Amino acid sequence: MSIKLSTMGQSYELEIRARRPSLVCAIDSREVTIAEAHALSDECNFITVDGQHFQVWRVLDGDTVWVHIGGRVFTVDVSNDMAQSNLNDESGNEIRSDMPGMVVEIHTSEGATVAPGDAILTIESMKMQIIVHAPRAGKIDRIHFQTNTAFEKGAVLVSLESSTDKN
Amino acid sequence: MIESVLIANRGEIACRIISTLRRMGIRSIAVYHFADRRAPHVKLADVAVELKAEVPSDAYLDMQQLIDAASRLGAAAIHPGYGFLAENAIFARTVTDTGLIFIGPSAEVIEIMGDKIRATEFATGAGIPVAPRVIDDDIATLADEVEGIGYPVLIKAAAGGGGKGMKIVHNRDQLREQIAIAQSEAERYFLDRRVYVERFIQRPRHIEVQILGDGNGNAIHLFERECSVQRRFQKIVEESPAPDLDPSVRDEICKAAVTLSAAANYRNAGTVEFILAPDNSFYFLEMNTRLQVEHPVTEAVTGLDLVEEQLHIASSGTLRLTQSAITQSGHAIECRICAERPDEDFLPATGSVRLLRLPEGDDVRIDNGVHEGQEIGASFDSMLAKLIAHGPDRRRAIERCIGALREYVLLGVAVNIDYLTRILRHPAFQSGRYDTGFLADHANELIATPLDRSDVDAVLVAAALATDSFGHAAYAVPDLHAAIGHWRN
Amino acid sequence: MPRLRSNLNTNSDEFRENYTHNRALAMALHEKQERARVQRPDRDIQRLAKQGKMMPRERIEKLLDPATPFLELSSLAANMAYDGNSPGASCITGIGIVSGREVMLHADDSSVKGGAWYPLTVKKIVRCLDIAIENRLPVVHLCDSAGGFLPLQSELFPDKHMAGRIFRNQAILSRLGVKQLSLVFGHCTAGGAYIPALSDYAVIVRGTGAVFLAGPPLVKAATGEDVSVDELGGADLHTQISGTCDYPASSEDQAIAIGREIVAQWEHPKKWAIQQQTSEPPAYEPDEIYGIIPSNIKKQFDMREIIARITDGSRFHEYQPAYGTTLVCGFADLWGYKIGIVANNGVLFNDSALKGAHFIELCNQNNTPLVFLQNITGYMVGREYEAQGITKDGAKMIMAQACSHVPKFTIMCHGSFGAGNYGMCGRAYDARLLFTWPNHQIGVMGGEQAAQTLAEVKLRQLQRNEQAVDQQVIDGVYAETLEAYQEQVTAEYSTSEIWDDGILDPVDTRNALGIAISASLNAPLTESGYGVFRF
Repeated sequence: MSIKLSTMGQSYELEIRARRPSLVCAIDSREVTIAEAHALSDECNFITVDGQHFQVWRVLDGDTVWVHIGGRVFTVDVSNDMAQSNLNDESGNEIRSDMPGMVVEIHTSEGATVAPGDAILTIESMKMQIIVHAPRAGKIDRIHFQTNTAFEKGAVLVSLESSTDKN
Repeated sequence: MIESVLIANRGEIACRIISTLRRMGIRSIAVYHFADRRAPHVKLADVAVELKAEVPSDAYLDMQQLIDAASRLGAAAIHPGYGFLAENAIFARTVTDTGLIFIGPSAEVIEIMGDKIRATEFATGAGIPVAPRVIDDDIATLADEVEGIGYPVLIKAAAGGGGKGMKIVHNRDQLREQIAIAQSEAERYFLDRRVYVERFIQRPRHIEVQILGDGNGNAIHLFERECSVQRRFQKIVEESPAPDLDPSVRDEICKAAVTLSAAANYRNAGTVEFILAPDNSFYFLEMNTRLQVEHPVTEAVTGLDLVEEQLHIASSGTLRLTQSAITQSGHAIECRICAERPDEDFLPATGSVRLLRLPEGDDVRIDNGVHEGQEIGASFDSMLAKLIAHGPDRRRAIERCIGALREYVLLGVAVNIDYLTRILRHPAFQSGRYDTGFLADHANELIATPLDRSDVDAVLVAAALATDSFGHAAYAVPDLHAAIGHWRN
Repeated sequence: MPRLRSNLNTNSDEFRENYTHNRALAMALHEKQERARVQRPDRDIQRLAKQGKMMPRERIEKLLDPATPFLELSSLAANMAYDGNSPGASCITGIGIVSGREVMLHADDSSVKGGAWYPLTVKKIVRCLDIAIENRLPVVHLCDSAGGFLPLQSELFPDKHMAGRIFRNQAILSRLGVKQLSLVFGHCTAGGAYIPALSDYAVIVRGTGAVFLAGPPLVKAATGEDVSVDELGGADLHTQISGTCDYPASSEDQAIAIGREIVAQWEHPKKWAIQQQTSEPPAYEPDEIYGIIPSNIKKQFDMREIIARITDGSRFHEYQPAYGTTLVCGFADLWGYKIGIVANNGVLFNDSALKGAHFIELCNQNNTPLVFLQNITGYMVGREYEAQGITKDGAKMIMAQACSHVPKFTIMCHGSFGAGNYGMCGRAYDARLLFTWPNHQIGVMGGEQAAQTLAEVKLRQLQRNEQAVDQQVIDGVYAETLEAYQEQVTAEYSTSEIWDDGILDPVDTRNALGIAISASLNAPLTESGYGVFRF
């Protein structure tokens, strides 16, 4: 297990090499010895790297870490294996319904370009209105149901143009 | 005495006004847009009123809602702060007509000083030196007249301010085109396409004088401020007193400011801005009829509270201080903390304030208007806070300022704190001999220095340990296995 | 606790000779392990690469916490079976740390015949799940197997401890509240499909992972249905429709990241609080063990010399130092854990057997885990000793040891012959883990004795039948027996048959025991109690 970081236009790979007697990390295969002590709060630490002391403030913002060292601020981007791609297969072109229902409103039209999260349809099922969002960016190929038409569980509601088609 | 004041503003200046109101036992009424509902000024005020608007900044510009709120909550006065409606004559007049006190000058004075052409005419009339200029709507004759004052020249918008619409022109060939651009920009920013041409003073310093006027022809000055550290014609570091300034020139400038204010029957705190040429000649630039962003440096060296003086003048119509009672003590420097990227041409930065730890110290003052969790968007000005350090002399003021900047922690949005430190550390700034060209002239020296490898290591290690996966992997291992380490049988 | 004083002369010829001999054995062990672990035909390596798959050990290394140990079990299983076609028994098992938690790993080795299960593969997986049950260790399965190796199905399917036992053990683990996670990297076919299905959490890699009772060819044969692998049991089918797997992953890396995060959600086990202190390394260098073990199996050595190179600070509190001296008993600390050591220093006599039984009871009374260091040729035989009741005294030791409720660990140090193996917690006695040193030999009796015995039996048989005694026949019996024995008594054979949990380089003993003891503390102590001792 290692972690890939990038800051100031450079990429680095960090790996833990040892924990006792001190934490040893390899930064791109170069080993550094680390001691860390919490001070004041969770965000403020004293970090010793190869014998040099630093007071560090830091905060995690999504996959970016903001680091305040010696009066300067750096942003470090963390590459996240979990986020490498979405857990759902985004390459799919069909939006299916999880439940039977009826189309209440169509928010866009065939041929329109949508961004991820854009509302495409409002459907009603079991007295609840649910907005069907675009799972990915793309162009709407077909909307399979008109307003006030009913569909079954698992029905394809919307087809997006295949993402591999576009050049 | 005024018993309650509505603050028609937001951010650090609203907070700063509220703190004086609190100290004086005056009820404070804040206004806010929904987007600012968790802002510090809302929390600090005794009462806060939401203003409705689609666009957040429009809320603070909505005169009717502001006046309605003031009337409804029984405010005696409205303090406009700076920006927004602070120099809007219509607002001043409407407030007064409603029977409320507008903490500022009369609408007429705002009108005169708000129009650069009228203001310079007024200054000339009061015997204040003004840079040679040409005002002519006919571009053909204007070009000939400009020859008379000599290139380079500066094109300015009549209704301008904050450096918007200003252009430097070096020769006649560029003039026509640049005037057209300036006019269209003026139209866009100020809804007023009038521009004029003024001699561009080479290596100018921006010196301004803080004044107080009672509205009856009496005015005093609270000494000068040096504001030559500018990017895009906007100040980011100010100090008082101005370094390396001949005392007799200082006296003359201060006297000119008082003369102008008195002639205008100026009421309220105000600022008269001058351009100081290397030969010590100086010219009237403009007058700001409001509290200035950089007023705290004056407060630091005079020991006065300008908001308190504003309130006194507004409620009594008198000055309670005499010129001789005002003295300067030590030196003060202000740094504007802005959400911007100095190394990317001062591009405004957006984000959300994730962590905010303000420096503390007897000689350090922070006028802050943001809170942890606040989204910093493009809706408002990029200035988030001001840091003011006071010292017995300039050197120690600089040191304290640098020390405080180093401890200033604002994470989640890019800010110019490190850039400010680089300015304060620069030899030209430290020498005290600099002009408005300072930042541009030394741009290369003001670039962030690359980090040592050990600093990069520390940044990477700190970042890695802050992440869930790496931080956890580093520490959450049973003792025995941590002690054995990587071992395979 | 006093420090043992070593009497070892590290400058002696004997030391040097032993050192060279045993170190060579250790190096040979590592070479064999290396071959079993990584030596694969190019086409297998390329096949995996083409499928976008990692080698199984690469997966394990990415799954484990960095800079933590991995105690691999039975790394040379099946190495003397199936003409070497199933290195390591085509799977990897071991105890490691994932997201700060001790877990048992079971990984199919798809770089060998598609990860097909041989009989010994099944035995190794069952054993690793038995260990998980005994020690309440959560299990992470890294699934990628073609299924059972059909030509040998009779040896891996029908009996009690064969393939069915894998899934039975999974169910039992779950009943005990021990968590299981499956990462489905490749196919889980037939029985193998139950591994993710019986896991609490299952992650499946899109494109390469598949779970089904029968693959497409079998489906085609059975019902005529034409169906692709993905349609039949791919990631989307199982995570969106069937619910057989829980998390789809778009790559092996992502599957591992999800797996690590799942384990990070698991409660930390409430481990049994054994007496513990700060550990210190042994005062004597562990590699001197090489110089202690005689190159000749018949030669005796002082087991205290071994103890001094395993325990914290080489300290040892010896129990009954003057009584029953062929069995060394006493307390020590190992990686900070208080343990009781029972170690052979010669043949077991009545007094040493009684001392052993008594010390084992003391450790049970004190909730102290037991470590057995075996080098035993058996209980003393002969009329005099039988008359003194050597058999019933040996039985007492077996009773005390077999009924122990504290965790037990056994190291096969040199020789293990006859009933001594029983009293000293041999394989049949549920040591939580049992490791063998490379020099070790095991058998019901020594090879020469066995050959001698069988030759003797043959001679008597001939004599009984009043046949002519043909010395050639007798010699033949002797030679035949000896030859078979010489192979079967070796550590390599032992570990190939999974009579142990792996061969250990002697210098690794301390770490292996530390990890094993730590793992054992996950399981609650059972009630103590014994059967009837014959006095």
